[in-house]
Amino acid sequence: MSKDTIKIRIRNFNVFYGEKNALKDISLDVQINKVTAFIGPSGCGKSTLLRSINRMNDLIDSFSAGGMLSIDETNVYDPDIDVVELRKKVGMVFQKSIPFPKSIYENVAYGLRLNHKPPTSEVDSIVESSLKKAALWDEVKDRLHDSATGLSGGQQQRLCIARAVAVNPEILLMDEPCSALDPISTAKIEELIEELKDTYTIVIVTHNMQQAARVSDSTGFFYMGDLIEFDKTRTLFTSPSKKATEDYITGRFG
Amino acid sequence: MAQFLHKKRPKSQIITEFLAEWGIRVTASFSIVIIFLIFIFVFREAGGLIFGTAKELKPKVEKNIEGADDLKPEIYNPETGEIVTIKEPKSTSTKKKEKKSIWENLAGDIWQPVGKEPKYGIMPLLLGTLKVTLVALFLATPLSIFAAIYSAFFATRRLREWIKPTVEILAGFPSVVLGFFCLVTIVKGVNFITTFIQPGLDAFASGLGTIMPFADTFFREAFTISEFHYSSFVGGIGLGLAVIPIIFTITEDALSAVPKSYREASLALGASEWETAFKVMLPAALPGVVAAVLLGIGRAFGETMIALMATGNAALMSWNIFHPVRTLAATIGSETGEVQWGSLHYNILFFLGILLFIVSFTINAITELFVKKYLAKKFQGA
Amino acid sequence: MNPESVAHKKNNKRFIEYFAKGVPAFSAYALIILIILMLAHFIWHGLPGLSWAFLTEAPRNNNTEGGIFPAIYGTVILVFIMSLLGVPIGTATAVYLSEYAKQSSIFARSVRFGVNTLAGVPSIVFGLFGVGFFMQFIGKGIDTTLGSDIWSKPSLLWSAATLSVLTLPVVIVSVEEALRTVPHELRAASLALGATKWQTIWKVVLPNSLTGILTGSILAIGRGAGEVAPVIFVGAVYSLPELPSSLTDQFMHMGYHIYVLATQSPNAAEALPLQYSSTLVLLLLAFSLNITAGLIRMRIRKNNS
Repeated sequence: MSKDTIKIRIRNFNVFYGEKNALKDISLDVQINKVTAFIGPSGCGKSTLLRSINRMNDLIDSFSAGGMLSIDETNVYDPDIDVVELRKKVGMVFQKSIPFPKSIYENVAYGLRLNHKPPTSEVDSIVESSLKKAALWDEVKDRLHDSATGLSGGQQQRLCIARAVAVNPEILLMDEPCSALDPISTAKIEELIEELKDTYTIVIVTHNMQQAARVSDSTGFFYMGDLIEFDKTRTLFTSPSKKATEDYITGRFG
Repeated sequence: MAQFLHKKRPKSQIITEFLAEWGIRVTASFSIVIIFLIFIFVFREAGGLIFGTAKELKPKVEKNIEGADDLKPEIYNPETGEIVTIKEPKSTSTKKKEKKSIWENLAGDIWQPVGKEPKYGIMPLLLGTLKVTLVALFLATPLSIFAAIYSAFFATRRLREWIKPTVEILAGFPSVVLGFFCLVTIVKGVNFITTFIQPGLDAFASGLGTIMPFADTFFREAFTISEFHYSSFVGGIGLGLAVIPIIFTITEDALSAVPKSYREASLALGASEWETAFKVMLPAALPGVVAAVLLGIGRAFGETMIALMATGNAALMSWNIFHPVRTLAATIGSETGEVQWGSLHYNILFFLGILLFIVSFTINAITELFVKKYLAKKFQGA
Repeated sequence: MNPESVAHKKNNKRFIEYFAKGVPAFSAYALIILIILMLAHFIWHGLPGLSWAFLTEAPRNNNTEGGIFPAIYGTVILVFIMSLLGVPIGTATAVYLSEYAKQSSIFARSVRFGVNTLAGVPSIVFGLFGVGFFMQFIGKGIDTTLGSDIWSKPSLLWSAATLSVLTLPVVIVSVEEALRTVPHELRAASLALGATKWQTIWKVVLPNSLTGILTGSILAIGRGAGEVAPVIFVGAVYSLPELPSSLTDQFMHMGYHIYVLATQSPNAAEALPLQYSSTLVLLLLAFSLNITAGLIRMRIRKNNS
């Protein structure tokens, strides 16, 4: 692996919630413009690692991290890193997609208008291109100024993706993005992930192993705060090297 | 390289962020600051008394004598024209001319702040406040707690949705309205009520007297109906009305917060509904009930308007609940408006305010630190 | 055990059960009936005197005739200024408690303790505080600086300030409850988009709890409108020839009006119908505010569940 293709480098990364060691000595590399999936049973630490990448865990009082987690060779836990700028470049899509109770247009434009007021024409074009990237444009172009809360669950999730890509991130984190969706909406999102990886580096947490197998290039299996195995998705699912991984993917526990 | 990670945000945004956060933190400290300010400034106005610098501003007080008429108790009994005279107990009014210290004066049992020789004994005020508070609690506590038990355990859901808002209506009555209510109904009906309950009271008094024979006469006196229309009994009923919603609401909340599993476990063991309610649920919610009663005491103790309107406002040293009383809060309420600024009397009124503040502060601290902690511990993990 | 004693025990138990269920039921019904009777009493006696003239005219003939317009006007202006002073402070405190405070921090716990203590301080003590702090300290300070003599006197401004302190806990508790119903995911989404904490609060959290802030203000106004004890010394007067026109004016007050009519009127019996009508107006004012707040609150809870 050449150094240039590594977007996120994680070395001996530890997370503590108070006394509890939630992630133990994690080391892995996330490749640029690839989809990396984290799988494992609930409470295994996969979401914690995901939220460590854009430092959303900072919001938890008892959180503390050790080791290295770097994006483009810069440690994001470096004291002079501006967390707000970091989050602009590392977009996130949540499990429970809740659009802001504003119009569809305002939802997408929210991130753009945080620091300065770009001209309306610029906002218009970014809103359009973001909605197109999220494969939502055709469905909502005639009602951009309707309330976003009127959209269906799948549409809301794609709106949240549009909202995240509007601020032009380099990395997209997805925390179980399909767990609340029906199969058709799920398929649409998976298709979208496939398209988005040309532009973004994507990390996805999922409890659905088939989904990880379908959409990801690499997969990490977490258990009880340890990274048990990390490999190319195909290798991990066809010939896992650890017994625990095999047990999990064959459904013996979890 | 990750240029963006070292990009700095615009200065204006960082400043806004800083100002907003610290602005909010400073504003949030207002609640604490105000508590301190109350203490400091009420104390400051009582300062002359505490630091012994207050002087009897006699001539000035006498200049103010027209206003002083308002302070006499009979002014509050417009209809009956009752005149409550303050009897001077012979034992205490030793006619020593030598200067008593202010503290000795305060410990006296005559409150007569206006006159040639003002007396500031706060004992009758304390006694009066105590009597009214006791009457209010005696009436309100059982009624509210039983009603809360009914609402939390026995009432149907529909009925419960009626009971709570109805009691909240009572909480919404401004105290001046409750005072007015006492004035126009209970004061008028008090003769009827008292004749009706006199036998009961006699029995109660002699019962207490039997248990505590040494205080037999005391109890007989305490519960002898008098001809006064305004009394700690009437005021106590009014204060009870003000206290009921507090005790009811907090008790109801505490009872409803007991985990359902307690109730199911008890019922599953073959206990009946009422046994579960009284032997399992009520004890489990006891800290909440204690908090409710404590906060009720705090309210009754410091309530002004009802006491001002319905207790007769005569500072008598009497244990009889059917005699008029003057409470601390009512004294402040009726006298502060007319008092000479900076006089000893003024200082003493603020000193009474400190007493009220300290009592309410203590009650709140007890409920906060002990009762709530106990409650939290009890249901943790339940 | 012989069968008789078992039967006896059973009887005993039934007797206890009868009481254990009957006494609470009796208490609850007695309480409700009492409250309904009180309401009925005030409506029955107060309604006949209510008229447009009563609401819009000034009192005449020693308060035995005329209306109570100056008192209504004074009270409304008073609670309006009170909420201008108190609601922003209360809202900011609620924002601190819900958005910034760490549960374990000593400062946060002190603020909470302060709010609860404030809620329990007797209202008359607030009146003394108004005299000691607002009038004698701030007012006197202004007067000394400006060389004026109007600020250290009882006034609309100091009464409103005193009441805003008294109703602060009402605002804080109610706004905090509203802030907590804003879904956590909205905050996370905003932060993940690179919004700062304050931007998140200003653009997402506060707009979503506007109704809660409104409820808090209404409840505070309902409470403040009924409080008499705190304003006796800092601005309320029995009768005024003119309506207050500046912050330093004194004012007539509904609650104080009722108090004076009931206790110090030279002709109490004749003034009684007007007293009842005044009381009914005050009750209607307080209840309509409380009911409005209750309805808004119910809607918020429904929308968020």
